[in-house]
Amino acid sequence: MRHLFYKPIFLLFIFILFFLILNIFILSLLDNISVLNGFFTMYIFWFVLIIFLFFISRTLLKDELNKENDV
Amino acid sequence: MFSIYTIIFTFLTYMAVLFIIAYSVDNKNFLSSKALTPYIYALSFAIFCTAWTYYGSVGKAVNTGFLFLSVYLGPVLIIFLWPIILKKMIRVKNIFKITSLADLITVRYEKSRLIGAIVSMGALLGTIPYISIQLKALITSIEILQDKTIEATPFSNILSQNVGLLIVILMIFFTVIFGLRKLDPTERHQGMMAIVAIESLVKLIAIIIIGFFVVFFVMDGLGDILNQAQNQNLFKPLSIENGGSGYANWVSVMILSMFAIMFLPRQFHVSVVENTSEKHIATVMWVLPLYLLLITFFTIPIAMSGSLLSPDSKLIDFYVLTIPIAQNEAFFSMVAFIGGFSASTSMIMITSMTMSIMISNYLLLPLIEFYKPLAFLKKRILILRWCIVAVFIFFGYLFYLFISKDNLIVNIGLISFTAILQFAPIIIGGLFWKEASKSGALWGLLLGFGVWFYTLIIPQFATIGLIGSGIVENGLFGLWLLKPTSLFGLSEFASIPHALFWSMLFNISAFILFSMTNKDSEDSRQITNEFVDALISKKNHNFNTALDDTVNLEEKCDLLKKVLNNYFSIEKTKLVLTDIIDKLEYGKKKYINILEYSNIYMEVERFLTGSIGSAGAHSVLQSNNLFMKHESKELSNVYADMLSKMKISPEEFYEKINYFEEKEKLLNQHSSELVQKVLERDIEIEARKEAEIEIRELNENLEEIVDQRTNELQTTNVELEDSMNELKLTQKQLIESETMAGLGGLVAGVAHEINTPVGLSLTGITYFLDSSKEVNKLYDDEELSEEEFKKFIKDSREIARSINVNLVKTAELVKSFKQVAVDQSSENKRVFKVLDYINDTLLSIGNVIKKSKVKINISCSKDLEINSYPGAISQIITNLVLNSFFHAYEKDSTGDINIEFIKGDEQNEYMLIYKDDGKGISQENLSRIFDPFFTTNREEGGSGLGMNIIYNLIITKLKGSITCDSKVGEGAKFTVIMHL
Repeated sequence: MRHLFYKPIFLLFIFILFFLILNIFILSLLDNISVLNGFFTMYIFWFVLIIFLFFISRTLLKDELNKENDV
Repeated sequence: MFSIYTIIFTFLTYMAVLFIIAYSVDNKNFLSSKALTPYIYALSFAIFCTAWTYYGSVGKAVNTGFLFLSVYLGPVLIIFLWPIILKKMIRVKNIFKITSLADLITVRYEKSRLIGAIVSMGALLGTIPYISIQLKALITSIEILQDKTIEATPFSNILSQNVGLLIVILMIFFTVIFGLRKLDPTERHQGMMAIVAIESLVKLIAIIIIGFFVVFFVMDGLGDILNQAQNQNLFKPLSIENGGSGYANWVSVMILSMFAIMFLPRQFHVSVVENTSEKHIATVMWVLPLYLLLITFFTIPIAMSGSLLSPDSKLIDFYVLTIPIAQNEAFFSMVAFIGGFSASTSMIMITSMTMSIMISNYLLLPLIEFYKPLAFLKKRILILRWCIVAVFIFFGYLFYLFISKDNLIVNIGLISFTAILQFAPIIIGGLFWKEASKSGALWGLLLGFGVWFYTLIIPQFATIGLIGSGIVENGLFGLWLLKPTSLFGLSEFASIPHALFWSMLFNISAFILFSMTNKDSEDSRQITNEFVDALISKKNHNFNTALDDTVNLEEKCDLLKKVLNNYFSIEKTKLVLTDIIDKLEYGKKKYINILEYSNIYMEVERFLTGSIGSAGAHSVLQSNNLFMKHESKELSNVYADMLSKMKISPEEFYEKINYFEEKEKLLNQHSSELVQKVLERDIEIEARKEAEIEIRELNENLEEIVDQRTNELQTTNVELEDSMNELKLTQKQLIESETMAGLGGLVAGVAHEINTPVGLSLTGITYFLDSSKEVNKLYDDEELSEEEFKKFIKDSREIARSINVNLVKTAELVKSFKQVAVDQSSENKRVFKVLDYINDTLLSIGNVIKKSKVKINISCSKDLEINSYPGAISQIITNLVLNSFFHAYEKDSTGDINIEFIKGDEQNEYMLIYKDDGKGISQENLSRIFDPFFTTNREEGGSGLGMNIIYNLIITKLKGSITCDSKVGEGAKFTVIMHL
């Protein structure tokens, strides 16, 4: 899985995937649930994005540090 | 709540603290830890959250519910692509010493000053409204916070009435001292970045404190607020916002904010120009989304609380401040004010600083160079930039007074975002598309900004009465298709999605079409490749071309000094050139070659780019004729020589570059395939493991079958062993029979040999008996004469001697036979004379030998004695001789058998060479003669064991070897080597 994070096409795929999930699935959900539920749905989704980004960023950072060590 | 003095004092104290921090950071006394750098860098991105976020998002949430979140979710999503886009921009920045957004674009597109000017103008138009809303937030928050009931003094009245101007002056002052104290913008502003980061933390902490205060102290918790808002229909769902176009707004705003966080001049500055390490991107990737989540978390609760508490308020943008004031909470009010103040000031300072660089490099410097009377300003760029900052902020203030004052903060912000979006296609295209050309960029920008201005700014001008409303109501020239708010009849969208759609359509279409039809020059090809392939690691090539040092370094430095002195002081110029020459290690040279001079030229251009922009630097250096004609020619020749040494034309050179790029792609592809194969191998290994498990299970079942078969085999083995024992017994019996047969032969030989002497002895004794009887009768008759008696005595002596000879011979024969027979039947070792023993052996088979006409010759030293097994040697010779007689010779045929026994070369080594001249042995039989039971004469009673017995005796008893050489018709030769 880790090597995928270096591939631009995979990052583009994740970007499009989350873009579609947000704009098609979650957005249509918001008008059909209570404000309170909508509020938490939105922020939970946001938190999931942060976890994904954290995971990717750690992988990239390790890679950068490895490159520095190689040098 | 507070007097104007208190507010101004707080403002000044806060800025003073920030200045001390910035000063300390610049002098490495504070926040200089390497561990903090990535977090300072990440927090500086939060400059994206201005007063718009702090105050404006609350107003937007009141009016449109969740819609404001798209401004922050867009950036969070685009962060997934930052390892590609942002990293590439940073790398390009490091290569070309880029200091502004305009630099990035102009460097990519043939260093075009025109494009630089358009970009700067577009950024100016896009950011002035933005500055205005920051000023609006600052001025309005001071007005709200000011206690009007306090008795006013004349001075406080003046301050209160001119608070806007006061803020403008202070912001100009702080921008200059924080960001523009020095000219060289390639030096990063660590101090300024530190205060941006601190201000980001301050506004975050402030909004969280206010959020907690409102939600848990003013109201009864989050659930209470949101449920009440829903019950009273205060929360606007997306679907009804703006007549049902809420979703279009959502997507539009999301797209705008995605690119705004990268291409707003201030964002570009903090993210690209101020970056010190690519690995800091990793920290930003999770810190920024977390920051955005936290800063927006209380926006909806505060917005809904404000709507519940004061439903008729006109200050919906400022609920963050008005709620604590309404609750009469001085502390929380001041916290809210400081948070909003932090959100505005850092944005104003960074934006003003970056815009002053862009405007001076791309709008004013070309003008100064064109209009000679203004040439004196070249040396006053720093002061020029201070002036630009002043004018820029003041224009923002004017925009506030005439336009922003009566508009929602967020709406103005989105107009700015739409302007900045016009840069996105040419930047993204420039970074990833090699065909993107200057012409495409130019037309894309012109049309994009044109449509933006027409669809968003013209309606604003009409609203404030700057132009007539006819153009908005009836369209340009009265054509309804050209109505700015519903261009070409598109009336379903709100203003922002509408402007976004049309401006992007024109911008991208023009960019692609003109790029495809108008190619850039070959000279810009290298820069294009540097941009597009920025993330591909490259090796430095060193052309060791032997060139004469013909360029006078001192003279050229003087020329370069003159050029640089137009923009920098003499000391600075000297320092810069010394640094460049030291860096290139040319310090000890008086003369340098043309390539070395070219390196200095490029370094100077890079330095100048940092100060006056890439297009300006390029233009200035070219116009100063820093290369003489012959030098330009020499440089051209050097490059041509390099190409000719490589034996390629420039066209081929480019082709080769393309070839190697293709090759690299293929290698990358190959690498991917290898990774795939490794994965496949892993899968195969898994499959094998599974198969092994299955085999193990099968083995467990098979064990029973194997046990059963093993028992059967063991039984069979026992039977075979019994058969083998029987066979061995039979073989032993056969060998014994063969030995007994040999002994039988021996007996026959003995009988034959002793027959004659015994017969002669018997005849002699019979004659003696008859003679003695006759003499006895004559004596009794007394007729025995003396003569007859003498004759009897004489004959008796003769007979006795004859009998004695024959009996001695018989005794010797018996003794010999006895020894041979004993030796053949026993296995004892003893010392014996070889020649005598061979003769005795042959004597034992004399009955056979004498019947034949074959002659046996023995060659052996008479005195040769050995300590060995005579029985074995006797049996070997006997069997060899009998084999020859039975198989090698026909009956009555003649021949010679030679037996040679000699000492070998090694100690205790002896050789028996047996040779006959009989029929010989065929090659087919030769390899089998030592096999047991092999015989060609079985019908005549051959057992096939004779040669096998010889073989076994030699190998086991004599520790030797035997070989046989023979050809049909040439006899056979046996060589026995013994180690005794």
